[in-house]
Amino acid sequence: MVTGIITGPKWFFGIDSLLEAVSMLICFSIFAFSFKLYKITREKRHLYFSAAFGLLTLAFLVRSVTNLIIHFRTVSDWGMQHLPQIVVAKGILSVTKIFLLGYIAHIALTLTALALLVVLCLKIEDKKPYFLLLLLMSVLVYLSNSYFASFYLLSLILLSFITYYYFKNFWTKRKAATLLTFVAFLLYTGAPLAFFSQKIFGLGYALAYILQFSGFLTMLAALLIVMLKK
Amino acid sequence: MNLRRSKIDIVHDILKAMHDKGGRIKPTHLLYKSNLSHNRMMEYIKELLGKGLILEEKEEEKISYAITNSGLEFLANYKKLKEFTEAFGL
Repeated sequence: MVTGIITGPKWFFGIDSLLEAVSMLICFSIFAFSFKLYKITREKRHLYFSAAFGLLTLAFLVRSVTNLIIHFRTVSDWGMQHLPQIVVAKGILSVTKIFLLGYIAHIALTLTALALLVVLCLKIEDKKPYFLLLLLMSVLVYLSNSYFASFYLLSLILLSFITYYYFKNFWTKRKAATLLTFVAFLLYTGAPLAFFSQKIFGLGYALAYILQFSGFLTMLAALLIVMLKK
Repeated sequence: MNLRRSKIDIVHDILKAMHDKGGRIKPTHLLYKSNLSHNRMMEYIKELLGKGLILEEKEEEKISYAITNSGLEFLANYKKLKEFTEAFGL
């Protein structure tokens, strides 16, 4: 069963899509730079890291578009008018179905990306634990009463592992870029917590997006330090 | 402070040794310049050959290793590579 209620403030609708879109661009920058480095080093770790951010890029793209569809009826009406009529008439695609497909795609892409980052952080060379983790998460999400609750809980667990790794990385190396990466993932970890809180306090939705966006902005700052290195 | 060289540092040292010798180096010189044991050096040589960062040349049954364009690109981007690898813990 899929349940999802957006209880965010109305004034924030549209801003969430914008923040997702900018986060997507930041993820794409990290993906592109990491892939460029992989082409130089041929290190599998660089490839997997770029793949993780490539998946996050797609996840944010899908969610940004999905949010637009549900928030702005005019966008969804325009979209429905431009779909092949046979698709609309046979009920193959409706706004609700597009929304559900979009969110499920976002969940799948994000969890796959985060699981890949966890495997990289834990320095697991064998691919089998990664696929086992994906399988277990898929089963957990599918059997849960709420895709969204299970998604945010799994994201919180995975991001906690990643953040702890980056804290140790910063503690060992004590450089500005390592501090920024740790803070970035710390902020990003706050986002699923804030999403959970939206049922308790109305601004939880907005806070979640702001935390997530702040995390990616901080990651961009870390990337800029690297790119400007001579 | 961690005084152990990372993998990227070792690769850099190997490629720089080749570059400093005019782009080509004999194994014994590389052993001295890279500050590695023979076995470890050969492991790295094998890996760098596989990745196309260096190539093996034979002249009158004497082996030497030469840096490729990919290896030169690695050297040119070393600082960014090192900074990125450290920043993102790779």
